Amino acid sequence: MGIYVITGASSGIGAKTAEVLRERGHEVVNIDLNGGDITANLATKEGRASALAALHKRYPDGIDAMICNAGVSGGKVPISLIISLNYFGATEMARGVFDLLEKRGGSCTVTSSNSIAQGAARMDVAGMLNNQADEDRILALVKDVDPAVGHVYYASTKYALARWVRRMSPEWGSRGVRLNAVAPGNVRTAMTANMLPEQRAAMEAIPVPTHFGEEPLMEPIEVANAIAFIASPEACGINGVVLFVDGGTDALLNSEKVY
Amino acid sequence: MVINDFVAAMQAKDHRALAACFAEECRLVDYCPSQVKRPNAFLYGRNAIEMFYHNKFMFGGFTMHDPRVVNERTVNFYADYHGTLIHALAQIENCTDGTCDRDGSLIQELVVRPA
Repeated sequence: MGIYVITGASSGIGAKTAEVLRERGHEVVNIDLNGGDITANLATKEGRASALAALHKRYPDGIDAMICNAGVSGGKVPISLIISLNYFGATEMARGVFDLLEKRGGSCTVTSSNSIAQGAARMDVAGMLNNQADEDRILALVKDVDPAVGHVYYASTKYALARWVRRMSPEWGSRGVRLNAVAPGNVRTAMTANMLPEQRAAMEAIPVPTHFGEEPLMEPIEVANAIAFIASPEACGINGVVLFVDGGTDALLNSEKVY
Repeated sequence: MVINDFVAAMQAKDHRALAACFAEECRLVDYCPSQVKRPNAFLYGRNAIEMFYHNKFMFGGFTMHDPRVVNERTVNFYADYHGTLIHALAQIENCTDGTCDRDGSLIQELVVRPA
């Protein structure tokens, strides 16, 4: 059985993915701000460094999979947290365990979002993340941005994350480490049970075809199963893919984007 | 006539009423969005139409302005895609009664093109 490291697995998609992997007999290590096997704030450089040090100490012979899942949605949190956790918290953790993955021919999977295909992302922000990747400078630039536009920054970080996967995966794949992204649709969480009426109306207008006639929310298990598959050796031929796990929302709204 | 129901649903931004104008097996194609650098729409099936326009009506992706019904198959209007207007024609190509002028007739194929 494999050693699977997952970030943000104390709740939501991450927790369900960890549960699925444990049921399959794998050793699962959760890195989270609260309730993790390794406690770390992945929105900070120090937190990422301490988590990476702990992993290298615990698994000097390598790991089978890294699942970079930790992230926050926009709306109520500072823009800086969205940028640091969603983008740098994923890419820097992935880079930081590359040597461990290389030792065992492992895989890395990041959690993006199907919002990347709905036109909400700012390409200038995504460009800064992918091309400049200077965390301190980008954070200084957004320090006065109103958290109310957090959804735009959320989509931008998730777009940049998916593009990072596309850019890095050929080289990583050539060195025996697969790199992919999953792009979930809206997922049922404790938060979705308490939405304001206008938030609910907006959520319902992003249909999930496989849930037609029901509340348009993906269940965490639907996404967890996809992550568990794409991270597993059964997906050995899959590299550089952004897998939409949204019940067909992207196909509905963007049917002409075949490639 | 179904063309009037179609126009009423579009103006009311009622995605369910819009879908009810179509047969279960149907096709709606909109060739106008490419005029404003957005992907054209190709929708197959009544449920897909309902879901697609639910999204578009909510987020400003489609509004029908100043519709003029030309005949039982055609409406001339201004299509609004996120604030950009295109002078358009919606044409019913096929419907269940063949002539599209009877009560209960449903659209099987509708194409929206720049006018």
